[in-house]
Amino acid sequence: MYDELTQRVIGHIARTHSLPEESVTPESTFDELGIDSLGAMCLVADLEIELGVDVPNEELLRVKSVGDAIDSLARVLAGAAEQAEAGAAPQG
Amino acid sequence: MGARRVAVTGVGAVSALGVGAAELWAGLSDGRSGIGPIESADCSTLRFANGAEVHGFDPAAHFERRAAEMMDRFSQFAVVAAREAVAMAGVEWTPGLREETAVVVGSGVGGQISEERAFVDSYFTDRGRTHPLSIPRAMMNAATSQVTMDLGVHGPAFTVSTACSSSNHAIGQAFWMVRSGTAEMAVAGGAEAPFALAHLKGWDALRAVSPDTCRPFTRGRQGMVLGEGAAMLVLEPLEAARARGAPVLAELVGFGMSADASHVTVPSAEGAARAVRAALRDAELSPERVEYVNAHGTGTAVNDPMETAALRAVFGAHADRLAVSATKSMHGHALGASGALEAVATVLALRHGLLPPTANFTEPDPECDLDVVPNRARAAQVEHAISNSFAFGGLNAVLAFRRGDA
Repeated sequence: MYDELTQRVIGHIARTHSLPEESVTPESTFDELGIDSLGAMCLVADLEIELGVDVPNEELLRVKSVGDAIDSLARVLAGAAEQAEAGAAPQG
Repeated sequence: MGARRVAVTGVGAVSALGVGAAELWAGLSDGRSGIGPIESADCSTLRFANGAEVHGFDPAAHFERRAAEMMDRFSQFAVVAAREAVAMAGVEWTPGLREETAVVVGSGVGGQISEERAFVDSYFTDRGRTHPLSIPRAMMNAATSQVTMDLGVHGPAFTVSTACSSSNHAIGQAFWMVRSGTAEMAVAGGAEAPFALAHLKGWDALRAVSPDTCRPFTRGRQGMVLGEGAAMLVLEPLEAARARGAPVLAELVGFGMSADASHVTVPSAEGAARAVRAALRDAELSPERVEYVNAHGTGTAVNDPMETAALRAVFGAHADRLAVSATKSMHGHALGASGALEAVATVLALRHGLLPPTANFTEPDPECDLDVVPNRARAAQVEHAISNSFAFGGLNAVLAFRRGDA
């Protein structure tokens, strides 16, 4: 059983690329799935909008597999959560 | 190499009259107008509500989901029309022919729908993010590029953008390349999908659009009606077409261009006449041999008398023997795709010996005193025809055709 983020990324890829969900795993590379670099960029952009985050360019360049995309999004989500917490803390 | 004769061996079309050249021709020969209430945009804040939209165009019927997502609607129209034209021409691709086939597509406004979506996302969504495909979809050359990729051809390829003359300029450039031997085959035409609200607002502000329908050459006409679609022609040397037993639907014999150099929206009869004369000169055709004119005929107060004056200036007394029809009354003014739709209409008129009418005609205008083939198609075996396009900005382009078996 995948965690929520992994499930969301896999579901999105399967839906947008008309692939059976079981054929997409965190180990799948985009090459294997027939997704080119523009396709990977579109995928990350869709998920950025869904999750309300920004994936920096240097993260995006490292994304070659489904697992890479999940890791990048997880890092960015963790950073965003930390910032929100810091912002919410009492000042001074 | 001497100049070669150039045959039109295939046509394809997507228009308000249907998806396919046969659908376009059926509508034109019935005098049926594809103009109706606009469904793809909310027109409640516009002074007009009618357009010539393409209904029932399902991208999924033509493209895989990912391929469809790569394209704006105008590119999808272009590829579908190009496939149809190539299939009709019975082109058998060889590596050599792929290397030497040109693609030239006209578009006046490019991917308006994709551009508008990017603007709306940028200005009005929470984080102002736009889709990564916004630029590849919206760029003016997208339709040309998508056609080259879909057909797998590698010859000269470019987009021509001269507003409402875009298609005629595109077809003319392709014609000259095939005639001179720069290309062994060309797929040429135009594509447009302008039904994006901000774009419609622009036309509304210009007060150029009719509140009801398009009535070219009619007294009391109230303006143009916007349309959308695409049309493509396959051009190849006449000898090559005959050698491979391809259908010669018509011959493309002349192309002429001019610039009014006067006003950005008010056309000049001298400028239009100059382009018609240039096309006849290029075709080595004397004016009295022309029998049919597919007019620019927008249905605006200004264009139609100007075009009448231009035709009288070129053809003199012979103007009274010309049949002149404005098919924009049926497929709408599809801007950069209009010339290609009208080129297909002209080719099929020569082919079938039937002149499409000027639809929605009610009452003659003394300022447009030509035989405008009102409302009903007319059987006539015509040897030579011209098709006019005159753009905003005063850029004019005219094509001359000869019947295929002439």
